[in-house]
Amino acid sequence: MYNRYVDGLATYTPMDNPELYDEMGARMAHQGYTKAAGDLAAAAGR
Amino acid sequence: MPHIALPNGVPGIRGPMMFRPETARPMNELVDVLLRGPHTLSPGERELIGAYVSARNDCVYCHTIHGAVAAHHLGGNEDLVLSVKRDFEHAGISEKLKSLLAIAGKVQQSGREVTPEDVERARQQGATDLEIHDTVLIAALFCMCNRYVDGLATWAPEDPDFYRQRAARLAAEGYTAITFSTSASTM
Repeated sequence: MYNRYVDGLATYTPMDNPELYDEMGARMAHQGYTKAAGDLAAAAGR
Repeated sequence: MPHIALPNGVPGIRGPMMFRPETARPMNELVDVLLRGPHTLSPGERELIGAYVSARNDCVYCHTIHGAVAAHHLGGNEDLVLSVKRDFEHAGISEKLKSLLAIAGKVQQSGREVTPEDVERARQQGATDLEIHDTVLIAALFCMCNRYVDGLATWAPEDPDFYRQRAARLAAEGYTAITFSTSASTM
């Protein structure tokens, strides 16, 4: 489901910034998905 | 016969949902938001998207029950539902819904199959960003549910009246409310 949601809308996929994935991965692993998604939304000003 | 020990005689997605209510609850909440929440697309139109994707995935339980729910919302027009599953481009539905079903069909193959032209066609027919967003998510969600239902080899009743009666209750009460309701347990 998530694969189709992400690619069906042609969302932005950073390809040249592996550190970003490290950072997001650490956040998701330590905080869980609900909290990490909330932080991301806040960081994006939403 | 299901691949794991599911509650006996419980059809379709309800078997695994009773087996694992912790995951069933957020799934049903998402289904209620997407298919029954306030929206510029009618519940019947949104159910048609789900039924169409399920038919493309050959998930008999899902395309039959959601086709029945769509028909219920569309004044009992089962022929219209069948025509959408078979060839929606020539069905008696709006051009906007056709353009959204085209996107849903692409999502069913892979999200990466959706092209800017598919999205432009929908916009030309007046589709909003929210309608395009929800079409993609409904299509993706049904792909998940279809795989859940068939990956565990759940039971799909053959009697069309089972689906009509169940659809009437789903349309009236919603998905979260009746999944675990014990009255008429096989309904």
